Amino acid sequence: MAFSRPKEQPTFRRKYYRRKVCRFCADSSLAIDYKDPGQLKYYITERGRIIPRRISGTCATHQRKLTSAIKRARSIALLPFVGKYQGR
Amino acid sequence: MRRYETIVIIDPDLGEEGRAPLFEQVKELISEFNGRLVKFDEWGNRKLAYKISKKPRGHYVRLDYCGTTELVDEMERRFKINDAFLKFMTVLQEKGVDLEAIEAEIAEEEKKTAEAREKALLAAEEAQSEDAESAEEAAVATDQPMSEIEPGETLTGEPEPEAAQKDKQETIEISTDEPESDKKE
Repeated sequence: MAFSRPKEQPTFRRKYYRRKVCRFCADSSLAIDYKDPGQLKYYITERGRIIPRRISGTCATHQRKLTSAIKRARSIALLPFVGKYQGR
Repeated sequence: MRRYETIVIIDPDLGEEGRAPLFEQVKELISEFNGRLVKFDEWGNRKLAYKISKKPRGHYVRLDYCGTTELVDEMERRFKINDAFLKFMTVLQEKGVDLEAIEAEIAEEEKKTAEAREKALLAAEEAQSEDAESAEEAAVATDQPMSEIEPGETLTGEPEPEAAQKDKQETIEISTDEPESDKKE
């Protein structure tokens, strides 16, 4: 707060902005399926939380589908509510 | 008529004999309500992501069927009563299903599995006979049915798009990789 950036200088953070691409948009054959925990595990953290799209870069449509798929997978014990996914 | 998909987790300690009557009951129930079982898919014993009624493993079964809401209600009611069913989940796949189309799909599926079985048999024969000529003949024989299936097929035989995907993914990775390290600074 005490330190304020000189106004004339443009912020350089923009320059390093990484364009994230929605994996499902880039690759239309990738299906979101709640029966496939091996795929879904890339979108949950180690603790089992769903990774927000601001981090994963997934588009809104696919994030919505992902979320419901992950929740379904949780309900039939394919993915954990809490804790690590341990493969098969 | 609607198409549903139900996933049931059954007690793994029951064994093959214990499960068979349960499956019979479910199948009977579906036909009782004028439903149609499209696919009975056993995934087998799998490790659960969390324990259900103190059991770390479960026997998964996927039921793909058409039916009415009454059928689903009754089925779930029975699942709840019986302790052998650890957990279940029903998902609506499609509304207003045409039964004829479903029948056609089932017939096609059966045809496909039959052909796959034939192919496997041929392959086994091929492996057994060390004679190169007979192997070639078998290969020709397996090639032919493939081309016959393809037009009506939905799932199998898509080697080309996959290769294309790989290229795509690679390009994406390259484009994203570089700036990432800069961003963290």
